[in-house]
Amino acid sequence: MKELNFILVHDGKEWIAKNGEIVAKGRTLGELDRNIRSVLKGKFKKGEKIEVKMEYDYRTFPFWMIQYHPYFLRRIIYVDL
Amino acid sequence: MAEERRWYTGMFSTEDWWALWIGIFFVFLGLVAAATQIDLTGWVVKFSNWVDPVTDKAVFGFHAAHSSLMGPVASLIVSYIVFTIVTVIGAYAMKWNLRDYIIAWTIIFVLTTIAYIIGQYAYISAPSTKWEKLGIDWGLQLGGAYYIIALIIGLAIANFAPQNFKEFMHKAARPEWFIKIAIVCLGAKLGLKAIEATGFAMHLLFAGVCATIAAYLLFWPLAYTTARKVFKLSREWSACLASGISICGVSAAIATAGAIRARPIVPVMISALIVVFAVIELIVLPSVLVATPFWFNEPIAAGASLGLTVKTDGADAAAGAILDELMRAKAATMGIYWDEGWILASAIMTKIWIDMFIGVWAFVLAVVWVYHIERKPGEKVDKMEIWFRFPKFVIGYFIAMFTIMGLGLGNVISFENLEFGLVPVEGALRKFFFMLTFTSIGIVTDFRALKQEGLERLAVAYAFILAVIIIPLGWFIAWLFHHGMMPPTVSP
Repeated sequence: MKELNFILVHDGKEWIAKNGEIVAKGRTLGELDRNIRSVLKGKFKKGEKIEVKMEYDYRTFPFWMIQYHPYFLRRIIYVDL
Repeated sequence: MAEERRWYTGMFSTEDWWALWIGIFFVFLGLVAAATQIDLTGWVVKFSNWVDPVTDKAVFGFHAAHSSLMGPVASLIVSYIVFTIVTVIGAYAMKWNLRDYIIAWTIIFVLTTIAYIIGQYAYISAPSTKWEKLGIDWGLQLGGAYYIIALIIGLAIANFAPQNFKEFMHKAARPEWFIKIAIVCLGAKLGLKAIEATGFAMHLLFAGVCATIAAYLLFWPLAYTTARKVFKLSREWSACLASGISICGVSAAIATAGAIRARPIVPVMISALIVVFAVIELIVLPSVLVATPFWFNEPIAAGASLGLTVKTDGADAAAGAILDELMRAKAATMGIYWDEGWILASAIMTKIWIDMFIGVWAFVLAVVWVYHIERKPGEKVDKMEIWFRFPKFVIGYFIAMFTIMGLGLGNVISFENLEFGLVPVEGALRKFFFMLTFTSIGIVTDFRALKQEGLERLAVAYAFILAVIIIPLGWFIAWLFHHGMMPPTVSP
């Protein structure tokens, strides 16, 4: 199984997952996941299973807050192409 | 390219881990001093009541913890240098702007020192038992006044200073970092105390777990239901508010928001409220508890109640420190001399248990949300979340406590030698980091957050749930599991 790591952010309207090569967006996480699937379909072979790990970019939080907790959000989804 | 999170991720890049490293470093220094009798910790600056600006061993009431080691001014300078070096190492590893950090840190250090000196003026804070020794015949006996002065200085910066200066001060105003370092050192204090009162310390530990479990099971569902039914908040706002108000404040709000996949704006806005209400609680609750005869007769339960009701570690420890001072000062007027630190230990013990379960709680919420409420196909909730969200400084607290207890009870190092090396760390050093916490809490608390657009309804909901559910229930649970426990007494 292939593994991909993404950075996740929210611009106030949409969730954005990116890793340097791939960018996917969605107003909800469900929509984001669907868009990630479509982007990956164009990049990988049919039948492949991909583990997608997303970690929210905690540096976008106010600096005074990050001392309280080590990170915000981490997701793992499995994409069957 | 994003990096995958591993079990050791953050070990040298988060304040939580750095609180553990720094706290353990100081405790280790104390242990080496205890084992070798080389005075490695006597340099720590210690503040005490003063009347004359200069006496033989002290200037404005400050001196080295072991005053024979060096003079007062040298002790203050050495303390500044050592504290600066260790925190700068942490700041460097966390990739902060070092120039900004050092300047802001130095300002906070100086302001904290001034607050400490003013608050230790004998006429303000000396208990009546010390009046004769200090040569005074009256005093306000405001135990812990220095904490409040430090807080007021910080609040003045947060609420009245120019925006640029306030934001600049945030570079080093890290109340959670400072209090976590202090809590690791407090583990050393509890370890020392437990050598002489093992049964009581274990009772306190066990009562704290029971109270915490009861609080988790009652607080969260009640707070969540009230937010949903009474204040008509959405699921994401209600869940984050319920966690913030009923578990461990900002940390819980962030963890819960992550667990239920809430938008980042949700924990950011709720956290602004949490810090404001925590400061209000830390100012009000200790005075209320000490003035209430019922709670005055249940000092350990009163301490535990703070752990259950005051959110954020910094505010809880700060409230516990004030309560400890006020309760002991009041008891002293009646000829009862409670040992210092047990009421504070009670406040922190319950809070530490609450903190420890946040990872488990966030995991449970994530499972419920992802698999049952939102039913996201293909998404997996990783069990490692429990470890990732576990507060690491707690490990340092327990390492310090049980190591010292073991060394003392096993007679590996004599109690006198342990005191020689560790008292400056668990006493003077820990208290100075408490003081830094008070100044920093003030600096990050902007009461204008209450007027922020969109926060009014949340603020009303928060105040209502706090006053009607969390505080009354927290008081009851604290009493239920701690009633009858009294701090050991000492000679005046």
